[in-house]
Amino acid sequence: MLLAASPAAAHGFGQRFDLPLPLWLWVSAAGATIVLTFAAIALFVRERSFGAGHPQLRLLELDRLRPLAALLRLAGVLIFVVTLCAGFIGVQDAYRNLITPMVWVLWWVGFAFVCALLGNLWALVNPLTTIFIWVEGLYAALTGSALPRKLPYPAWLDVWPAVVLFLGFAWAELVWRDKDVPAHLARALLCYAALTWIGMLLYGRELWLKNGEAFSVVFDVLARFAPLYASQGRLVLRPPGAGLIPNQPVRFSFLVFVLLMLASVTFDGFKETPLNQQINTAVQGSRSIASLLFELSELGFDESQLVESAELIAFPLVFLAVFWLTSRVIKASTPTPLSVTEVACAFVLTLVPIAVAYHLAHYFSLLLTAGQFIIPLASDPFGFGWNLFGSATYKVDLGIVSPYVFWYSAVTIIVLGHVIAVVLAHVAALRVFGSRQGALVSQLPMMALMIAYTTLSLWILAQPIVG
Amino acid sequence: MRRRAFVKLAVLAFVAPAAADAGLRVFELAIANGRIDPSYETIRVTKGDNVELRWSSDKPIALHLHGYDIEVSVSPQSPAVMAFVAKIAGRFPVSEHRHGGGHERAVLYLEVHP
Repeated sequence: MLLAASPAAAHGFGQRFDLPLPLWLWVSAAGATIVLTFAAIALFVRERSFGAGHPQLRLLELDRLRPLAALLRLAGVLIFVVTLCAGFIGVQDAYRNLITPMVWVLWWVGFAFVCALLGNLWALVNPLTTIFIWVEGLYAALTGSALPRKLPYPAWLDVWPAVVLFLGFAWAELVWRDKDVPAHLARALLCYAALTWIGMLLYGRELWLKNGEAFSVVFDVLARFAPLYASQGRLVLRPPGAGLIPNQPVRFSFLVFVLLMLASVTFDGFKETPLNQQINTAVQGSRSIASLLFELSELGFDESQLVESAELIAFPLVFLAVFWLTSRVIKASTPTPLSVTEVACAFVLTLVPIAVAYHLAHYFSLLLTAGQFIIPLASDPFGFGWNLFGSATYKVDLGIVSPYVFWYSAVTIIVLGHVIAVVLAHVAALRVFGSRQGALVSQLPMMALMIAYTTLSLWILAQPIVG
Repeated sequence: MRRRAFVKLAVLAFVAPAAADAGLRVFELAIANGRIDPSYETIRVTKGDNVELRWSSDKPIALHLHGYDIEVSVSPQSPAVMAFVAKIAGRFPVSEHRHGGGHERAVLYLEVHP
């Protein structure tokens, strides 16, 4: 009876089984958030030199890491190829095929962690880049010339291709029903790879990585939070979050990208809450919307998928509206020649630590539980019954993270992220408005927004997971 | 059937002192039209409890307790029992397994508190 059927039949791979935060912990954490915010503001009022610059420590030269980097790149390509093969030819069972935990847990969750906490590993090992570089080299060796002339990249395109592609990815991650079907996932992966290579071929590798390869942009944003980065041929250590203080306002398309990222992370948690369940039921219960949904469902999507797709579009729009309003209030409270959009573009990155913290809190138990599937699957990636490294019979231990560990770490991480965000906002305000007086006044709307955002993140973790 | 369940309970009660520290939690869960009484939508137990979920249903239904990965088939003629020690803390859905895919709906949630 125990082994009667595979649990993979439905109900996505990598479900979370976390117990919701107890009410008292949620209230204490939200309280701590507010108190710490005011403590920080009080500190900014007294401390004049705050945020003048940040310390950095220059570590070893990057040249020394070259062999390691080459090895990592090779490993990246190998894993990419094996993962794709597993998806296409392996057993079509999410729990017995390498592709599902590799893509959704180890790569998407794992890389976000590494990029945010260490440094931009994706920029180093991105297999799509490595393969393209190999092809460039092969072409040059065969023909004696570089790949044919590229098209000029239209300035108005900016990072919009990455925005659109990331929205597509978020849809696949959060709404797509077949995301755990190995062959479908492999097909999507291959399509994305082909699209990336076409983009690189048309506009040049670096330009496409910067503007069109959604994951290079995502992991770059996350890695700005990280303590390690490369500068002038050296590995440099800096305080966490320091990379998020922009020297100049980001471009509008980049602002939209960042808000889309933040919104999709929040929606990921929100869609598992009872409130979302109620919204879904209410929407489908309304006669006019239900009939519209029924007609749309002829296209092959079920009703709840359509509602979730609409929510996925609505969330970033709400984030954009709220952030734009906040920027408007900031502009109204401080004399500045900057437009509202410019103010928004100057401050948007300071919200990233809250999103990073929420992402870590939401996913670290998943990484430690569902991530364990990699151990047996490393020995049997296709589900053919192999045992390459002798680990195929490993049994996943779901109890590895106790609820206490989950609760206290999640709350600590979120409150820490909030404090870092508050400090960053202050530093950014000093840079944008020059005077301390202006900086302090301008921050009040931003602080209110940050408290609301952090409290929302905590509230989601305090909700029972449904659906 | 009821009598057998009663006898089993009696036997368990008899051996209970041997496992006095771990509580025995028995839930009688009747499914009507694929749904459970709302008061049972979330059932709470404590880590280490011996849990018995005794299912009956007015229609044939296949149930799956996620996380613990226990599956039973229930029909009007044959109720079924999920018996296990709640070793893992967390919140686990029991959902209906249907053939032909489609969205899987949770029948209830089991919360194992530390």
